[in-house]
Amino acid sequence: MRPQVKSLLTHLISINTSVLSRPTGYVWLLIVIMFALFFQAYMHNFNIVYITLFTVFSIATSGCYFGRKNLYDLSLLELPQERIFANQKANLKWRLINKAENPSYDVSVKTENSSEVFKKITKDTIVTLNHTFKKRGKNDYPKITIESRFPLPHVKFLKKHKEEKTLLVYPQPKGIPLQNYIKEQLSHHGERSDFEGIRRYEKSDVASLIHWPSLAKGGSMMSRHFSYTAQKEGLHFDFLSCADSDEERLSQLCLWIIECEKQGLDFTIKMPTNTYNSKRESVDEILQKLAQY
Amino acid sequence: MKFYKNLHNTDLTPSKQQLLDAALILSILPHIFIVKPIMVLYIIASVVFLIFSKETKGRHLFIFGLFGGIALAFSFYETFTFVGLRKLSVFVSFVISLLFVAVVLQRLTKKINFYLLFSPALFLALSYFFYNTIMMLFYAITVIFCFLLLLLWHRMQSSFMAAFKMALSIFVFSIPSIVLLFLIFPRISFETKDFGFSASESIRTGHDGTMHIGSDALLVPSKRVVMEISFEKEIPNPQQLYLRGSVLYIDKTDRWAPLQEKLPDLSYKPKNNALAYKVTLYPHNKKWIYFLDHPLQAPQKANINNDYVVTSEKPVIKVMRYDGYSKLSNFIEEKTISETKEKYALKYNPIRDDELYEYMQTYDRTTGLMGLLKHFKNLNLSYSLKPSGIDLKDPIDSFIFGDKVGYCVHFASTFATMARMAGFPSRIVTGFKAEATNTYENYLVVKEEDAHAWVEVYLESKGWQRIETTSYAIKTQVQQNNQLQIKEEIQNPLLHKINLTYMYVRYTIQSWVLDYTRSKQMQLLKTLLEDIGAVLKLVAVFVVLIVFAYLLRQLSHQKKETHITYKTIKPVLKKLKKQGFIKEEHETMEEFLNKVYLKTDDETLLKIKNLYNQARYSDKKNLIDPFTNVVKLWLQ
Repeated sequence: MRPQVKSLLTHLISINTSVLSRPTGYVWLLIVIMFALFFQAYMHNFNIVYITLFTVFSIATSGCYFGRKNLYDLSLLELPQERIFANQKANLKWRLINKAENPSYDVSVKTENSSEVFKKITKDTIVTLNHTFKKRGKNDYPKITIESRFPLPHVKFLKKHKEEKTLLVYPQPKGIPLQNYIKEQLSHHGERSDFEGIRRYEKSDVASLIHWPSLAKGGSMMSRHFSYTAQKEGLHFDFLSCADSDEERLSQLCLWIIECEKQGLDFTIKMPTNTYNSKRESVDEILQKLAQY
Repeated sequence: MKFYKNLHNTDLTPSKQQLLDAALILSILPHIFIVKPIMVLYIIASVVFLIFSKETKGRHLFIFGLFGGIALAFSFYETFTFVGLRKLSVFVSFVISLLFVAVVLQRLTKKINFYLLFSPALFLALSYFFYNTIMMLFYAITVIFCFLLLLLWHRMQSSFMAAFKMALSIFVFSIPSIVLLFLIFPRISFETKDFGFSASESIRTGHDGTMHIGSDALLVPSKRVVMEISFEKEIPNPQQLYLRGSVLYIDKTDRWAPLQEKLPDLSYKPKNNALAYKVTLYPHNKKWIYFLDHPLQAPQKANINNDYVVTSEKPVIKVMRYDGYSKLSNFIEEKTISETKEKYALKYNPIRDDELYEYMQTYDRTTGLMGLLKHFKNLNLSYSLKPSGIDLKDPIDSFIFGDKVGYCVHFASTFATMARMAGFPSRIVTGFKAEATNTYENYLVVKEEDAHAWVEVYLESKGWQRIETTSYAIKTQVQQNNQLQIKEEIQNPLLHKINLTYMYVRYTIQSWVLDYTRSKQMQLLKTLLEDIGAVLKLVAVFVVLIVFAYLLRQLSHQKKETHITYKTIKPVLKKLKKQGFIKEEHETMEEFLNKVYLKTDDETLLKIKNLYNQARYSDKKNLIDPFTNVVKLWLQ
């Protein structure tokens, strides 16, 4: 019997410490009701009213245990996240696990800026929350709380989720589009020449490459293909010359890397101390290095 | 069966509006008995409209608003003045009726606002103004539970049973706290008083201070309870359970009446060694307050005269609860008798009662009171509640020389007259003589059928001696009562005991819950401070309550594992538990058996784990047998 009692006490203490409670606006309503009942009872030592008062109070109090228990068995498990860029909305995902045999009710999972509400959690559920990271590099996970006002609305129960891991946030992709950069590079290196023929228009093709005669003849949209485009496969980005400040440079490179990935182009980035090559490293590895620059 | 399934059906969760309607219906129930019929009609009309109408238009609201106004006006037509509204009862009734109209109008709009949501609680709180009974106590607790249930049902969006289990768990968990608060919360008001409403109490008839002689003069011998008494210790001897009412001196032929003169108040009598008890006297619309014979002090707002008659300042029109202190004795000391008392206590009419007067000539005065009693017995009178042949113009002679059948009033009036003729001042006392059969533990019920009259004879320079005149009846005729209930109870002692037990429980709840006051609180505290046994009892009660609440919660939330694989593996878990490996509540079988394997290197456990998973989660039924075999092998 003794270990069971100890286990029960430990369990109760654990529930009490791991789930916090905060009063809501309804607590004022409860106070007003209790005061009104008290005066009604006090005036004439009216025991039915006293019992009502004590019942209301006791239900409000014992409801707290059930409110804590409602959240106690819930936990969040971090899921692998998609690429996260600075100053862009990221969809962070967790698995909300209910370890208890009974469902949890009226639960919301919140960060500072977003929340998701679940009326009933019987099994595991995926939670998706939006968050915008301001800085690139290693970032802490946003503070997440699991909240509930169940069973009674006068108290809000909170279970704070502390994520030990950090998130790597890539630089914000922005700057000159890849196509413009290529044009610029070409103008530095010579004329548009070495016409090789026409091919099916791709979305990434600039408007100046559209082959209008094909279109005018009623055919499908085509674009002109020059030999210089083949050079794209071996694009070279120079960290120091691509923008003015380090952050702008990182953002610029990030944009180009993503565009290169979209178009399936290989690239080389010359950093002040290193050179990254897309043939040797994956795009994510290069982005991670840029993020931690 | 379908109903049972529906209770578990999560798709049948009512809407917020439906739940609110249920709460409203529950909370207005007691008011239906208070408000005027036109208001009830108004409510019925609005319910019918809500059931059959698809939408409410502006004109409907106008009609119902107008109808509500008319209902209000008719309900309070008689008291429709500000003076009338100053009365709390009228004011509260007005507020309730106003709330009815407001709720109906808001409900018709089919929009839920805060006020509509809050109205069931308001209705409940207002109903407390009108009822202070055990029924109301149970009603209030039930309604609070239902409110909780409805709220949870709405919030959980779950089956009725799930919401019910949750509500029950919360409610049961609250009980220890409610009991503790009820006992220890400081009571500032000293006595329980009501709000001046008596809707739930009926005025009962009782003694009117006179004693009528006619054969149908006695109160209807009903089972209606006149008063309830609880003693601090055991109940006294049944022969001492005389409850003193009025004292009658004047024989007015068809009735006996008290003295017209106001008697002086009783001088202070010490309460040392007095019998203490508590009385709950139900309203009888008269001023008499009953005590065991003879009382030593009057309660507040009451007087006690030197005939030990206690009267209230105002007629008792509400339930009255008071402490009683009495000296149980059949003799009242009064060394000197006042002239007035003596004059009336010796007065008789030899012309009217000529036959008795003649009979008394054979009485030997030297034999004293004992001789008089013997002389009375020699009259060979019989006791019956249905006497016949009593002539109201000559009641005594027609009784003793006619059919010789009568009841207490006839016996008392005859003996009192005989005593007077013998030179003993005498008087008749009316009240109640409680029956030993109406007791339970230290609780005594006094009913209307216990109404009684007896005689007190003055012994010179000593005092008044009580004489139980009916005990001198030579035989008692079986009571011919046409009340089925009484017959049944007489024939069936079990029914009588059940009824008495019920009354005792009701009385206990009434006195320890509804009438729990500061003095009772202090009494409890004193007991706890002085008696360690009482403290232990109280602690034990709370421990039992808490454990009960916890167990109930566990039981109501336990999901029984019914899968055959679990039943098969259960002995394994038991054996491992004995070895010190306890499966945590949230641990899966896989996690648990892996953990045990890492500590014991028992390969069979891994095999059991794999077979358990396969047998449990695959569709192949033939995997059960190998799993069972491995388990049996491991257990051996």
